[in-house]
Amino acid sequence: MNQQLRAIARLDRMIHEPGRMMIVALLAAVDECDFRYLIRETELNKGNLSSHLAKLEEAGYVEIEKTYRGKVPQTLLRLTRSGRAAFDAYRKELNAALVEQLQALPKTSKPPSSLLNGPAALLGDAGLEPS
Amino acid sequence: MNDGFENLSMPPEGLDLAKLQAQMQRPAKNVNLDGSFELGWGTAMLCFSLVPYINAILPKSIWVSWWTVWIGYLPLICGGFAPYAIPRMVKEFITWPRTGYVANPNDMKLIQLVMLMGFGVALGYSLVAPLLLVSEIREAISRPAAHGAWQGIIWHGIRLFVCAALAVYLGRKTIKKHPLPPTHGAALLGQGLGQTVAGKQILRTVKFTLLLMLVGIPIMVIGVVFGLMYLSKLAMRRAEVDWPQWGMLGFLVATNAILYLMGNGGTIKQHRWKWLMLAVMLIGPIIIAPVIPHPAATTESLPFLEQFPPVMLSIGFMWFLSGAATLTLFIRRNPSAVTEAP
Repeated sequence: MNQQLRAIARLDRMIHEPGRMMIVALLAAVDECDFRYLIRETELNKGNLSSHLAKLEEAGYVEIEKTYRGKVPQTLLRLTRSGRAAFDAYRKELNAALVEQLQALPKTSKPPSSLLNGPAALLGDAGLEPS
Repeated sequence: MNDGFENLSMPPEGLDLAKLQAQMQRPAKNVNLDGSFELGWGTAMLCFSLVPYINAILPKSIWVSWWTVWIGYLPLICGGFAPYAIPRMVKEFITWPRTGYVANPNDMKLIQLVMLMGFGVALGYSLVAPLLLVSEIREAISRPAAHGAWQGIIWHGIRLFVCAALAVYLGRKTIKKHPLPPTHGAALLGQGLGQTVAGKQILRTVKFTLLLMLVGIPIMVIGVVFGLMYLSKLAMRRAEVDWPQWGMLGFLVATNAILYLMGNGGTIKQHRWKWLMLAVMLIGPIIIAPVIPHPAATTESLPFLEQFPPVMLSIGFMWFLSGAATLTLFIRRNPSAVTEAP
């Protein structure tokens, strides 16, 4: 169990935070979008979104471009190549951690339903409440 | 044991892969949020189906001069560009001011559309030209005295070679380097779904359903269409049943229904009235198409293609109507906003 939980602990924490994960997951699915689109899709407030984007930009995962659409200012956002690679690696690591956890279960026992949704509840199964 | 965990800031929802997959699917699901895809496709179908009607109205003299011949082809050109231009305009002036700007990898680009159209024309010519060439060669052999016959054949051969090369080149470019928008969207949805065990199960179910749709539904719908047409005196314009013609029409109606379902995959839960639209699309061509007058009554079109313009006209109209209704609902639910980031 310890080994599998360590695999989760090794995840990229820049992406791992729920708000940032939402942002990166959305940006990974599009070529580029603006700030307003992200607000609508993630339902984060402007302040939160700005601070998460600043952190992602600092990490080199997101490229921010200030421009104008007609006379309206527009903030264009896109995932950088390293951001895309980091997100792919993150997804693989998360999946691997899940698979390891699934394989560690006795074959006769039914997999916990939480496993189908992700390792968050899995931590609960292990008796570990994330801080 | 839990060294490293103390610093992890993850509320329970933080690691929820189901949410991750839902988030990754959102842009692909929201492509037709405003009905722009339906409007574009509907306009294209209307344009294509209007060609024989417009040609029936236009004077024959326009086909003589190079300066006026383009008028005859105008609906075809408009139809070709409609699936690109109309969604683009709707997004630019209506959708993006409300939802914010987004460029999806599956958005069709102008160059991609031009390449696709070039590929279609080159492929069409490459398939038809050999038949014409064979008949010309036969004629030239049977009448060796005819002057310039072989010269014309050589020119046709060169054109065929160029078109075939172009079809291969553009086909490779279009399919490999610029995957078609639906395939890209499907790949994105699949990638998103593959995140969880439950998602993988859904993906397997979706693949199985698609297989059933590809094989089973057209057969079933063709059966229903044939049955209804056979029974309905209204649908019959002739005493004899032209099976290849009705078979082609049945196939057109069935594939159109599948396309409508796929195009509305993300929004059909929100707009349940689209199920009714789908039913009308399936039954409509049988009821509406026979009522619409045939352009063939005034032109010398092939009898095999007689039924296509009315059927396409009715289907195109349904697409357009569905798109317009979706767009109206979208505008009502999303008031315009022009604020930007701090």
